Amino acid sequence: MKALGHAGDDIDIVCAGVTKVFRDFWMRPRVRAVEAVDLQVRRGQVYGLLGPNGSGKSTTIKMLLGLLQPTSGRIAVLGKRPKDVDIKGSIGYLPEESYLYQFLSGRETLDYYGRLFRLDGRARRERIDMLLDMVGLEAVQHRPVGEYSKGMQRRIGLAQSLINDPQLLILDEPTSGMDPIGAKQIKDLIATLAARGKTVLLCSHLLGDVEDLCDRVAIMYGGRVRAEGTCDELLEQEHATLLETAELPEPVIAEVRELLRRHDLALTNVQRPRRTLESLFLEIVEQARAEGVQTSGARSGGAVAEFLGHSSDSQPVAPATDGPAGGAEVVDTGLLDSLVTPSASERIAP
Amino acid sequence: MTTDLPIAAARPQPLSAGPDPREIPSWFDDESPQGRRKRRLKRFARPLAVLGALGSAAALWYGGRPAPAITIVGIVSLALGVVCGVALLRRLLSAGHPVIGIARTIVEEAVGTRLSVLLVMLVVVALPTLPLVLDPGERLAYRLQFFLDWSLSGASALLALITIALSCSSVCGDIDSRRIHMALSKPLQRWEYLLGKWLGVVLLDLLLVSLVGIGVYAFAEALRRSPAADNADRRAVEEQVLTARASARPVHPRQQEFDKAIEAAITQIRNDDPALFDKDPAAAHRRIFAQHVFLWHTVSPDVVSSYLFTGLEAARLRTQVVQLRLQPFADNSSTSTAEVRFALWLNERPYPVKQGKHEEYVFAAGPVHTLELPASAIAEDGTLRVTIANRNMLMPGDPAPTSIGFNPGEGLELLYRVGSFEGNVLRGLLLMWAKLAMLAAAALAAASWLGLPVAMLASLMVFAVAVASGFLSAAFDIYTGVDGGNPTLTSMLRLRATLLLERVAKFEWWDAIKTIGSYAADAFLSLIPSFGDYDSITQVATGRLVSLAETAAGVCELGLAYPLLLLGIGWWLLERRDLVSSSS
Repeated sequence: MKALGHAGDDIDIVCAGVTKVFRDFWMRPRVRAVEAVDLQVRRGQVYGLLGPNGSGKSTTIKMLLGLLQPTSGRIAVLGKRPKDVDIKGSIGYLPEESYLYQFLSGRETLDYYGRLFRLDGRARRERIDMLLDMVGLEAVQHRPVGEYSKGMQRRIGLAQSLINDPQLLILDEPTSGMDPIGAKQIKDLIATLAARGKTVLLCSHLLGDVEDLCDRVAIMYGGRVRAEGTCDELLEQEHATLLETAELPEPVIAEVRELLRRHDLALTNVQRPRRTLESLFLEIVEQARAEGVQTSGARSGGAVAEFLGHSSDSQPVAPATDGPAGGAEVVDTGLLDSLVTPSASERIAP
Repeated sequence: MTTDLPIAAARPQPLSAGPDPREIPSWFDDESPQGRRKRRLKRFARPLAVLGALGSAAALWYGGRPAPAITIVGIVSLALGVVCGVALLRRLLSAGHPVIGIARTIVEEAVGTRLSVLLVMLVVVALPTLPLVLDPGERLAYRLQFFLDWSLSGASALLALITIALSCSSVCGDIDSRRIHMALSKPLQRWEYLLGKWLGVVLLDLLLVSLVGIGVYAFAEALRRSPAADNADRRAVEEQVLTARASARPVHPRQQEFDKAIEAAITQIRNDDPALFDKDPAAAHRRIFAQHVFLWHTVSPDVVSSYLFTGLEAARLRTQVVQLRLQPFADNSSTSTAEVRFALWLNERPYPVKQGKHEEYVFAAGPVHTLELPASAIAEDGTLRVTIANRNMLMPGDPAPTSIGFNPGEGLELLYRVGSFEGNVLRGLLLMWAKLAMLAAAALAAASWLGLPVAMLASLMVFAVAVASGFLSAAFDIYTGVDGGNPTLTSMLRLRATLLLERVAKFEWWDAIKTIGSYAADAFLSLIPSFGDYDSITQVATGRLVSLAETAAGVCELGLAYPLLLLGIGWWLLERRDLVSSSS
């Protein structure tokens, strides 16, 4: 394992002691949204940021994007200051809600964001075609976004976040407002992009999604990071063992109970596993489609857009799931010092 | 047994658990039947509306009512012009650059938001309707002047409102709805964002100003073809309205003597009351100068006054006639209908001479009169000396015949044609566009820091102050009792400081507060350019030349320098602004 202090190329996000205090009109401190947050996201990781409403997740993300100035502390994203426009070309961002121009059509919306990335007309057309196909909106691409359902708007939001083939994807509640099919597609997409070497910062309330997808997780509350580590580190229960096998008749269970008793152990829980509601839902929808039932909403998405992760400037990197064992990583402040000068630092008593 | 898919181990493959979208059956429909019907109706509604309007116009035309027919055709043409112009703008703004992308989006926003569409429709309907409200019994020259003045002024005000509303609502809307988060998380500098907004608004303004120009020109041409009251009316239309005339103001024929007389008067005042003179020497100079010029422009019954116009070489060579524009007043007349009677000499020769007799002019005092003089009367060196002799009769009850006076400036000037009406309109429209470009930048700068209502109010205030700058400045000076016409900043500051100290020393607190108020008002006024300095609408409506130099200066100042400064301020504010507020 490489020492973090010398692994600048592998680290896409570093926060060191980041604090954000919102002030009122008279510049008096009003809300301390984020306090002394330390984070480090390595290239190729899927990093989960968890926390209840108002815990500081979205504020942290907006500081990473340069939309907010930290009150104190230092941030480096892709090796530069968050406000540096050079890095924005490698970042894809899906906010917690899709803030779109309601009068633009789906295609015009993607075209607009393609222009912001300086894509020429041909590249824009090709990528938009692929993305519309990927998110299943090509049939409604000419309708104004204002007429879209919330889930469809999320899909177009997701498409815009990918139009530049980003190295770093920041997704704030990506499955919010989506039907289970769309949510499943997004989870598949995140996994696919991670496999192609993309770094993903995922902010979500859906703990199951985060557990399924993330290599590392930080749990925030009250603006602070309360726990940080890999899912295994955080979730493993050392005092219990779970075995799964085919259905057991009652006599066999009794034998197992007896065997465990001989080892001074008790069988605490015997139950039949249940399938998830998600899998049942997906099965029903697939069946309905196979029967040709009509729908006026978004279609099922297509394949992951071909350009994602395969352009010349994107270097696929193996997923960095092997973070240092034994709890939170040490924040690489040496890297920060070399990249970023301190922001206007201000200490306010909590 | 679970049927969960192994998500964590997903490989590049189709995203969906469902069928391949290419296998979606052909009967898949994205739109409800009502939506489809609405869309189809929309597709046919517009051409049908255009055909219906043109059909009504044809019916009115052949039914002997050409005026409303022309109005309907005008409305349809302008509306089609807007549609085609927007399509052209979309084509123009198709490049893959962020600034162009932002500009393109604000054009779409203008087309897609009700307020902008409503204001544009108001322009499209009001302009062709204006000729309908003109009194057909009025002289044609006056009708044309009224049409030009009101159509250009009205369009200018409406376009200013559109510019302010669109600029403010676009930026404030982006910030309030957080769309700006999406834009600024892309490789887009904040100055590029503001520049894109400005570019979109000014291109839209350029389109609308062009359409207004085409509409005004077309209706002015239609009015020109209307019957005139008489030959003088027709000549006034051609020579005083639909033209571009330069003006010359007179100098004193014996300028050195005139200057010496002024100097002598100043010396006398300085000797008589040195304290008063030293308090504000510049104001004393101006007062004495104005008195002498006024006396020079007053023709007493026993005096012959001469006025020398110079620099008329071009007029002599290129035109047949020059116009002497004069607005006489009778200084001791108690009624506005009093007449003035005078005789005229041009370069020492009597004019006009008919049948060997030097004829006199008799005009009503008060209104403006225009005399057409032969350009051949101008001397080879380009000078024309106009001499006026008072021939007023002694009226019963008056001690002496009435003096004839002219207000220095526009009360007595010489005008001559130097360009075409078309060129004048074009330059006037360019200046109108430059003012809109300045307003757009001011509105964007305000919106980059303030919320929508406050930004709109601030922008409207800038517009109002820019329009009424001269008047406001004079009003503040009168209110506070401070002469603001000092030639230098230091003398003005010195005078105001002295006045303030005097008032404080005398415990005249209210006057002192008024003086401080005048400082603040003047400081604010000095930050905002005066649109009155480039009053192209009045110039076009009165057939006065909007010169190329004036146009270039206006476009540079209002269309480039101020917008750059204001956008710079807007960028500075936006750069320091947190675009997210706390939700707690």
